[in-house]
Amino acid sequence: MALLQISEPGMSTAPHEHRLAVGIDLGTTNSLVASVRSGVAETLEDSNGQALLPSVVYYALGKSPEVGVTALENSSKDPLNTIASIKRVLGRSAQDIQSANDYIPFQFENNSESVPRVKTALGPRTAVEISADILLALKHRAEKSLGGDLVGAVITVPAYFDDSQRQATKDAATLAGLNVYRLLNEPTAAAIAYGLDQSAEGIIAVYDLGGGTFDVSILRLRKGVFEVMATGGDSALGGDDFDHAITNWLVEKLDPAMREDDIAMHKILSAARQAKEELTSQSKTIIKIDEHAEWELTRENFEQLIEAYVKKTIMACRRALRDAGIDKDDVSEVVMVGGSTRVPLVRQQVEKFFAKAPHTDIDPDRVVAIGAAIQADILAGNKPGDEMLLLDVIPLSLGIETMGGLVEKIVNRNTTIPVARAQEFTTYKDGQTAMRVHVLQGERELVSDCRSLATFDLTGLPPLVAGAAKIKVTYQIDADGLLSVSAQEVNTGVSASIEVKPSYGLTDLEIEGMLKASMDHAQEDMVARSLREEQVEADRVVEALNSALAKDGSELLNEKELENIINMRDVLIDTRNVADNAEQIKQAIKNVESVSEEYVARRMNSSVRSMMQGHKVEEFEQ
Amino acid sequence: MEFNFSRNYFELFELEEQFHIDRDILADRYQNLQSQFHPDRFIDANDHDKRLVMQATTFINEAHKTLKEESSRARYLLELRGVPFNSEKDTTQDMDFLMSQMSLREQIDEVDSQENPLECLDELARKSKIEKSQLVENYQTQFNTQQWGEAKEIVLKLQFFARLQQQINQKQEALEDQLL
Repeated sequence: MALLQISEPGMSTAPHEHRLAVGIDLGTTNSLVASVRSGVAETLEDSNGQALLPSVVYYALGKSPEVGVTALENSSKDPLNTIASIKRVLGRSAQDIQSANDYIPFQFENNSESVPRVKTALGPRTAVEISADILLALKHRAEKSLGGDLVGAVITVPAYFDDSQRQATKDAATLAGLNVYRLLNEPTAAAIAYGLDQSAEGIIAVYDLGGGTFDVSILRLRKGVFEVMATGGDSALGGDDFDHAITNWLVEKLDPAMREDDIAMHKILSAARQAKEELTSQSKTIIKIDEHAEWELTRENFEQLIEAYVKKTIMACRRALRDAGIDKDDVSEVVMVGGSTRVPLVRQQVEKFFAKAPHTDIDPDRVVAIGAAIQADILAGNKPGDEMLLLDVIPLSLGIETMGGLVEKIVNRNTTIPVARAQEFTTYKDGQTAMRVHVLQGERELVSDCRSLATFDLTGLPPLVAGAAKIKVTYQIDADGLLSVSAQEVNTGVSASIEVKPSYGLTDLEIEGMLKASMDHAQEDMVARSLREEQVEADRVVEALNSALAKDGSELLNEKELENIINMRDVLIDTRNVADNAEQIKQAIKNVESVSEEYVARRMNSSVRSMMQGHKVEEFEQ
Repeated sequence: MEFNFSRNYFELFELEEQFHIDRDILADRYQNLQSQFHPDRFIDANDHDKRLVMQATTFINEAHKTLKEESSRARYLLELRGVPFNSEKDTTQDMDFLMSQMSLREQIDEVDSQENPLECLDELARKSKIEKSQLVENYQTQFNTQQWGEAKEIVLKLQFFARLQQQINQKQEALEDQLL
């Protein structure tokens, strides 16, 4: 209704365009989304004021997946359809999961496929799909609280994630419809949050112990540039292990046969987690499973149970310092990140090792998301002229299989990315016309001890005597830490290349299929959304019309005209309340507009008249 | 986006083509170049430009790494002077040097039987660092007097020390893993 609301010239458009970008911390236990608003990075909360979204998805028949607190509430009733800690299996093969020997609180489909699929009431789901459900919930939260579509997102990953875990994270984000600006290492994100906060210069050690992953990074901060010197850790070590240590201790005391009982195990695991949290502030706690089963756990006992894990993290710190080529004394700041750094033994051991009190001033749960939001804001171009820059490294060496099942390293760990390295190889037999390139990641010498990322064949080599062909293999790693490999015979130019998608990851085809499925959902979302938008528009029209009628309706309209308009308005109100598609409402709005066209014109004239009252016509003739 | 890939690493960082470099200046210029060409600065660029900046920053990183480390800088300078290196065939002929390297490697293998293997490794690393710095000093003399053959001989020896250091690190990690 154009003429009922006239805005001031030049006021209708926003003064400057702020591009909505977010940082997302996709955690094992909890996830968060943050954004920079009015120059301040803050985590975004749900309608209940909660920033932490439990990384839990509940799949129930006939319902769309539930994420977060509501999902968590179902965990004791229906543990097998309530999927938690999915990050632990993201980017891992079925074989990895079996050999990890973890207690994983959900079940996999039994099949020969290498992509593990979790059994749920809504059918088998891959870790990528489950992670995408969590990311989608965060995306919706962000769009709602920022009031618009997101242009891009920075997603954090543990620094020690390997190529397939990174690729899987990126796939999940794509599936959730996010434009991934960058994958950012979690400790680096934390350093950004601290570095900008305190405008520090020097060498920072970030100790990041989350629910399921451990990272340590050594960074040099110099003139606004964050240069990662070395990074290390364990992508399957975290607070979950502390819970499991308590659980195992309890089960041994109760009844080892209980391990088969999922519901009971779930209960014990929850009790274990609660005990761990209580021992942060108390020196002992009572674990109560039911009326008959009650145990006391002292902090001392607990520390014995987890000592080996903490020791492992300290060893990784030592190694990272060595890789960075510095001594403990060179470290000027130590930063603690991740919920598990609340455990007193952890703080104590880190402080002892670095001989320095660690910083714990930013909430360890939020600091990673905040750092990611700052980076996203800069990448979105909201801060032109900002000099902050990140130079990150690859966490694990990349190599190639050579004769005898050995791995030859092509790019060493802690090399600054992006990086490309080439190495020449030759044929092993006379007349050999093909060569298999086997890409591996890891520090060990034997193929069997490293992670296999991909294999591909270079065929059509000229049949020469052994050692005469020259095959140049090039590894290129981009700024997200993702690898592509190419091989070329130098003399003939015969070549082959591959973007490394791990053999047990998802194929492009599978991702495409899932994207299509989610597009269909998106279609549904779109319908619902335009319906909501049109309802809002209808409300606005009705309100504007009512206020106009109250002012001058009886003055400018005869009885018949007034009745027509009121009838059409009531039709619109009904349509707004019952219509299930936007078009119907739109049509009803149009009807109101056309029936009140004459009224609008009269209002216009009358307002011009009242404006001219007391003036001479000549004054307006110019 | 324009980037000149035909510059050598010294030209890239606007440094004199000599062994001695000011590390702070290198770090400053490296940061300046990264600030201009890093992929983060081209997040909305087209695929062609994205590819180009990835190649540019890859080149800058390689150049920085080569000049930052003494042994790779020493070798690169000789390559710029037209001294050829063939990693498979080149090796030093200095028998005394080879014998001492052999003995150092044996010592690494034998640390397991020592009472304090990690400390023994630290000691070995310290010793090899001292020998290495003597070689570096020697290199500078040879390079400045344009004794390319002698300078190359030293670069080959420095490569032995680099490999030795790798072995020490690997051993250290293996021992640490055992302790867990």
